[in-house]
Amino acid sequence: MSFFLLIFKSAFRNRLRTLLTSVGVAIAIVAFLFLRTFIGAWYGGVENSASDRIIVRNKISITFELPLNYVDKVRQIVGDKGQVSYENWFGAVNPKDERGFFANMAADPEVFKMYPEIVIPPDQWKAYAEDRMGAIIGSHLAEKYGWKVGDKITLRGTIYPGDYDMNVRAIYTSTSRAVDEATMWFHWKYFNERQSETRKDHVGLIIIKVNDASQSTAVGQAIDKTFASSAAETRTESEKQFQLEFLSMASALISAIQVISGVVLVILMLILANTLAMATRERTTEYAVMRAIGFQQRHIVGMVVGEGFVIALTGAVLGVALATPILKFFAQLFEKQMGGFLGNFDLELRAVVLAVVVALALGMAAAALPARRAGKLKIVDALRRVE
Amino acid sequence: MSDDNLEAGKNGGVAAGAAKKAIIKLRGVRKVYKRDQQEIPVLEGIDLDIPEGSFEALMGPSGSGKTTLLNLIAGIDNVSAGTVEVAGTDLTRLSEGELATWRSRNIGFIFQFYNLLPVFTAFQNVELPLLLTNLSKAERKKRVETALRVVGLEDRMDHYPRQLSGGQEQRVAIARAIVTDPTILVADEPTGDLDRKSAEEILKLLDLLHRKFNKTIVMVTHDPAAAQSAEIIRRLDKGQLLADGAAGPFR
Repeated sequence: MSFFLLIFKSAFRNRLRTLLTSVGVAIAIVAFLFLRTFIGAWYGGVENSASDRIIVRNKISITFELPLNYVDKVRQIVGDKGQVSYENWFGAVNPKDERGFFANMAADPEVFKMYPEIVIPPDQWKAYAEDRMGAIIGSHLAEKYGWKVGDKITLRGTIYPGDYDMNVRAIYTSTSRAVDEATMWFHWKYFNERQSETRKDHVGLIIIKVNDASQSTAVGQAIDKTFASSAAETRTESEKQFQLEFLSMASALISAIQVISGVVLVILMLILANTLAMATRERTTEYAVMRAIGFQQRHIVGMVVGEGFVIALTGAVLGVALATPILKFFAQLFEKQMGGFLGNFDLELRAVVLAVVVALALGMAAAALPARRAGKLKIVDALRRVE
Repeated sequence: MSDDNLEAGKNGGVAAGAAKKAIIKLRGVRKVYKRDQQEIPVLEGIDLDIPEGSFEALMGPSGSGKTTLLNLIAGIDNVSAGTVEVAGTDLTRLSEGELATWRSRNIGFIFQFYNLLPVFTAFQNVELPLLLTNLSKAERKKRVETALRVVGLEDRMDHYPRQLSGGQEQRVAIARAIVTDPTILVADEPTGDLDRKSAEEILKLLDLLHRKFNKTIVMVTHDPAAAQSAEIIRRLDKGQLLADGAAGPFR
């Protein structure tokens, strides 16, 4: 026998209770991993954003546009340091599925030169370029709605009212998490000609791909300086900053998720603390006997903390094992529902490590109070309690 | 209990009637429990010498202080006044940690309700005190087997407490008490939870440990028949020791 066996056998002495506690911990771990994976997926695109792409937008907000003539002015500023293009957030929906969100953009064809991660078969690209009403859709989006190359589709504008007929000319795939496979692009010219005179000739975003990423800041500063004090002042930022800002619109939701993941951990700790408190209370006499025969306070404290560790570890291992298929199920569900907009909903090793480490730390922390109580008990009082 | 000691025991232990020095010395011992603001005296002015290798029984009515006296001798409770010297150590000067170490080396405990750990086998229960030593696994095994052989349970070492009778459980508890080969055994109502036959077996075993292995045994009991196993019977009443004890039938 060893101290480890002493701890292990004590932890599994009431098997049903330990099992139920471990399941409770496992569920908390699954919830924690789910929420961390959700947050990770939410920011997944940001982490993979390109450092050589910068975005120019209206300083007030991304919901305000910039005059089309800014594009040429920006081209002059950038010169031979990079390429310039533009697009508009279209914000339309599929009339057959109005609640099904997917990103759709009216884009200048040059945009695609800036995103080498977007892979389009050459023949399909050619067909798109030649069709004024052509559209490029991501493979997930095609799968979601069953759209194929050659299909005629209609989008219903929400920001720009009206039904827009288009032809699916290309289906792209992505080589990077920075670009999901659930977006749709169509020709900016077609979009522009459908706008009223007051809304015509405006772009949402001007995209610049600089040849040398180290020049991004200088280019951005030069652009913002040029349009300072104009009717539509600009704000130029890196793709990463821009995406973060875009995602910050949902910051309250993400904050709430982070708080909930914290609450989950507190629940985990309470479950363990409750079990350990019951277990140590039941074993008061045994601890007294052990103390009587020479075990030190530290041995008793170590045993209780060790029990917390063992139960937490069991729950954590069970939780990780359960999380794998559960998250896979949700990944498929989200992909079906959101067409990959959420990014890769994969269980990440660092989230697993974090969950296990946190569970073990909380397991031991939860044991602290019962351990202290067990260590401090007066032998004669504890022996008398049962006798 | 080592094999060497086992052999020594076979040779008769300490010669009966030889002058024995006191291994347990209590002087002016007072024990008071505090409840709220009230002081409840449990022991008052106890002076006691227990010779090495003797077998003594402490008797007295409930609340007379016999278990408290046993606890003080065993070093699991502290005096309010006076000194307790056991095996050459003044227990009143030891810290909590030092007392624990001292107990592991000098005292074997036998409880009324055996207090075995139910998730461990007889072997593992007996091995428990040896986890505090530096003995190797093989040495621990040898000692545990010896202790279980002494109590006649070498064939039950893989049994769990629930698979043993009350008498067998108490014998395992005795094996646990002697496995570190302590100088002194303290037994608090060791037969209190047993039927007459099992109680007699336990008393015979204690007598064996006393006579053959020269253990100093201090036993608290309510049972006059059990007390007769001891060499000396001491009586307590209202926290005070009465007149000198009488010899039991085994002597």
